[in-house]
Amino acid sequence: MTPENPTPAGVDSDPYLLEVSGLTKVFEKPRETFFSKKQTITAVEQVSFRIPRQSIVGLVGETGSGKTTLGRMIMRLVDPTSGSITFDRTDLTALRGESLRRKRKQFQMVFQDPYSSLDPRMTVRSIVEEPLAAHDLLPSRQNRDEALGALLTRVGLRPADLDRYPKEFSGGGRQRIGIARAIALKPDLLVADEPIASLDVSIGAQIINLFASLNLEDRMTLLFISHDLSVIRYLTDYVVILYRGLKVESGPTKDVFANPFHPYSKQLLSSLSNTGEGDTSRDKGEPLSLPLCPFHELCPVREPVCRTEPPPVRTGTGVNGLWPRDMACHQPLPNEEQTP
Amino acid sequence: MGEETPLLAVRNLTVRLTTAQGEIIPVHGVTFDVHPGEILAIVGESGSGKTLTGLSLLGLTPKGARVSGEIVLRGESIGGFSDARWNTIRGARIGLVFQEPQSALNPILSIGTQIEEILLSHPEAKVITDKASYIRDLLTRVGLPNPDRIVRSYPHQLSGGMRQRVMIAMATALEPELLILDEPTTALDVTMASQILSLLIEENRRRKTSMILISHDLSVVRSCAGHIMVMYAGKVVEQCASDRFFLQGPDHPYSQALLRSRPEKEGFTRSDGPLEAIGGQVPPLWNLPEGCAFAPRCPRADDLCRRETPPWKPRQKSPDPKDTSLEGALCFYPGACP
Repeated sequence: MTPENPTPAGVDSDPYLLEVSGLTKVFEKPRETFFSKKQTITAVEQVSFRIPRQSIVGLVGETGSGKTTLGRMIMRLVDPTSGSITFDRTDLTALRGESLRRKRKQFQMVFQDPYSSLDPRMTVRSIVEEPLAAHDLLPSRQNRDEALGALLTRVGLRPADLDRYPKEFSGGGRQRIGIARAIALKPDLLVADEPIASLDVSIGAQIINLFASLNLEDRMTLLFISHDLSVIRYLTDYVVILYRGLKVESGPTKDVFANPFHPYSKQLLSSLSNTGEGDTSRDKGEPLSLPLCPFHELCPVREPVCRTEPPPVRTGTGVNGLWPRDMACHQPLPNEEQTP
Repeated sequence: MGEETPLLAVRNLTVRLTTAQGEIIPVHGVTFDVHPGEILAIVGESGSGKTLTGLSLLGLTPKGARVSGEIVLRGESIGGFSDARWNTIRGARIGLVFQEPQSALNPILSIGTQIEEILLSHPEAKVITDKASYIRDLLTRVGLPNPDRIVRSYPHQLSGGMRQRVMIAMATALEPELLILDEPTTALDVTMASQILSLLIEENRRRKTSMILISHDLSVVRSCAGHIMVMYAGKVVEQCASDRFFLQGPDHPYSQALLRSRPEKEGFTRSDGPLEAIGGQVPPLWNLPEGCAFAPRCPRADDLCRRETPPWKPRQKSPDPKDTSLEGALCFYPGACP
């Protein structure tokens, strides 16, 4: 931590809202036959990072990289196998039942599919009222319409939309309803899992702008899960790149995109500028035995040690504010001081 | 005619449908050429008519649709065919890859059976002595490891990327001259999408297959298309070479707005300002505004645009009389932003 970096909140001395440490999720595969041994899949392996308050952090990776599982663990929708999640100085992994439920109003989620994540039989009013009622935060009857109307206005809908049904809205409109539901409780952390993947370009731009303004004006911290690299580059302050469950690299988005360190990040980010030629590798084969580097078979700069030893996590020594760059690789970090 | 005759020439293609809201024209006077070996991209938002344009080229319009205009494949007019005659075109001469490999494959037939079905239904298109090894070669060519296992697999046992590879193997099984790809990478993630695109580009180079790529994703279009056709509310609003589109910029305000609504520019982040989203929505086809359909969302629109249908203004042509390009924009005021 650098002392010259003032805490954005100004009130809290801890500059980080969320810290995940050694987070791991192992899923059990169904047995092939009754007598066969249980097989497991490691979806997320020993992932650690800290999210500075009021920042936007991007979680990037392809399908199967564990980004959705990681997001769901942070939301406490999936129980981690090991590791800890510290949210606003509370250990979320230790919370159960009612205490967890009460804590939930501080972290909310926007889902990928605006078609299946809204109950078609509920009106917009009941959709956005539900979280408020669950936490006994419903405004009094005389102010309720006004408060809910203001909430809809905040996400770009009209107060008159309160009594309509999700099916009456386009994809972008439904995603706005999902966002209204998620921000109804004024959470500190908003986790958005591929929120624009199913939307048209111009509608996607409106939703991205909405997220940016929730961060700027409502001071929400955002964890933005996406495979859309241009959007990550535009929207986020910090980025975490996952490959098959392992955090291969993280750091300030600007630095990572300008100069990726990890061989996988280099390959991934080259798809931003290439002409579709870069990666012609095969479909993924069998799951590798972590904790060896999951990328070593495809890596252009692999060494014999990559086959025998798990990759060490290297953290940059350069001054990079709240989030120094790091990567998990046997290759040494390039001399970081040179990057401005 | 120009120096080369187009493989596919579409003139004034119009599809009319009667719906509960009255008659709509989801494809309205669409005119374009696809030259041999060319990749043409059709770009637009949902509801712009791009998918239906693609389907019309295979006679796959919904029941009750009234199709007019001309579709000429290698000099032969194929519009207005009966279903039986369309079947000689489908798969054999024009292949189609759907957006959702999940729903386009039959869940209860093995991959091998589904590919074999294509070969059996077009015995005239290709003489194949050893079907099993031909299918294995096909699957290997689209980059699927272990083709013997894939042949016996069912769609649910494959990942999205693998299913899309199977779709491409099926669409190219009879070596059609033209491949129509409807959002081929939308359901896939980045790395998988870029692999599928390289596969398609390779196919295009290797066999000189012409392609029509239907997509709303400009980064996909940029990486492979030679020409771009932008559609809005059923009409072609601009045609342009890809280099020109991305380097100098398109002429139609809608194309320009589409380009600006994506954060493609390096170094442009949220602290530099919001993305320029296009305000409003695509108007419903049964309630199109007077004049230009884009006028209500267009920053450049004036009274003329709101009153009269804009003309097609060809882009300034080279003095070469052989230049038969269809480049231009459907706009009263085309050109760079003033």
